[in-house]
Amino acid sequence: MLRHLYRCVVQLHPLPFRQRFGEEMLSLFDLAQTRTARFGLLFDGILSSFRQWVLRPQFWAESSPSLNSPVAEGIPTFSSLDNFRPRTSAVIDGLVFSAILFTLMCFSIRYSWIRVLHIQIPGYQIDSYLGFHPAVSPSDLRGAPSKPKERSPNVDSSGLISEHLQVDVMPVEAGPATTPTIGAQAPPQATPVQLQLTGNPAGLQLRIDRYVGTYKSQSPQMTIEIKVEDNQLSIHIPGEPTRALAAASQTTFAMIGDENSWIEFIPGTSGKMQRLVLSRGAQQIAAERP
Amino acid sequence: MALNSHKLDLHQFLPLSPASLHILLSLAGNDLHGYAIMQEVARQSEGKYKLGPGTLYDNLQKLIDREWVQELGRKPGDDDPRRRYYRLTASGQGVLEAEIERLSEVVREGRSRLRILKPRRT
Repeated sequence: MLRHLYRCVVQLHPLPFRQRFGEEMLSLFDLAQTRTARFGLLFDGILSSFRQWVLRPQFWAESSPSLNSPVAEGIPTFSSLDNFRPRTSAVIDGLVFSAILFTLMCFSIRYSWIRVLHIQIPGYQIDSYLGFHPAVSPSDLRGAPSKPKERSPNVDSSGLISEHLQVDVMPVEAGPATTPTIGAQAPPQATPVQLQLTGNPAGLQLRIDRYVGTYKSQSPQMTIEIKVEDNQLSIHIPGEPTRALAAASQTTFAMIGDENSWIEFIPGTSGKMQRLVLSRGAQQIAAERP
Repeated sequence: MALNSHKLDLHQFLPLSPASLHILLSLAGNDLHGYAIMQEVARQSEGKYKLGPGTLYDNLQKLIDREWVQELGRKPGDDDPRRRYYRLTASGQGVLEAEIERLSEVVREGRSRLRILKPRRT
């Protein structure tokens, strides 16, 4: 068994070396008496093979006289490989470079397995001139119950009117929601919500000063007044009682107590609402700030 | 003049490695095969320096390449027909002489230094 291994180790040597010394090395191995000595020779053979391949490249291409026999059974043999002998230092440098590259590759693969890059994108709030808060989800607008969240830094904890007003989202009413149809223009389907000046800070955020004011209509000639009454954004149409408004969106409001009436505000360049369109069934009344 | 330049050429190979020195010394007396060289080296060093086959043939390869040792081939009637014999060439003998001379200088210098360092009796 050990002899077979030693023969394999001898075969691992470069061809010129094993052709010149291989048989002698085997004869020396056969002379070894003890098992320890044979193990020692086996180890010596492994070291020798390593040394020949790494440190003795100048002897790799050296062929024995038997290899140079030009004719084998009448057919000449050729060698197409160039007689290239790399420098010893170049071979060692190549080994070191390969080892370093291999180590780096292993390290990078391992690093990619256990590390996850956490890239934090800084969050920001979109505070447009309409005061729209991006944190409001459509489900909130549809009336899904929402938990109290501290999203807006503009909420006045004292409950007084601050720059921004909060719209509380009310639970969905039982039964099918009645959707008013206003001519060809159908307002977004929404459950009427109640505008409050205080309360839950979560929800639709409106700047009420953009709505409040007087709007004049040419046909029919009348003045529509948007005002704050009883802590609610309200509308006063001449000849009618003042009704509270419920926001369905930033620009669309329903009149509480008059399900067939909707108001759509149209903002101007200054940020305030410049016009409103009051829809009552098929009738539409357009009014504008003076 | 030619002899001096030849010595100069030989000195570029000095000092020899211990393995090369012992192999050249072993072959200085007779033509030997590999196993005999190993035994001779062990005898010269009183068993303190042992050559393995790998080291032996690696050095023999270098010495043959430098033409300090000549490969004789097999000898008829040997116990093991696989054995090859090696002989020290003239240039190999010149290198060995130069190395021995260098070592003699080292020994002489070392002894003189050690003599100086010895404490004098007053």
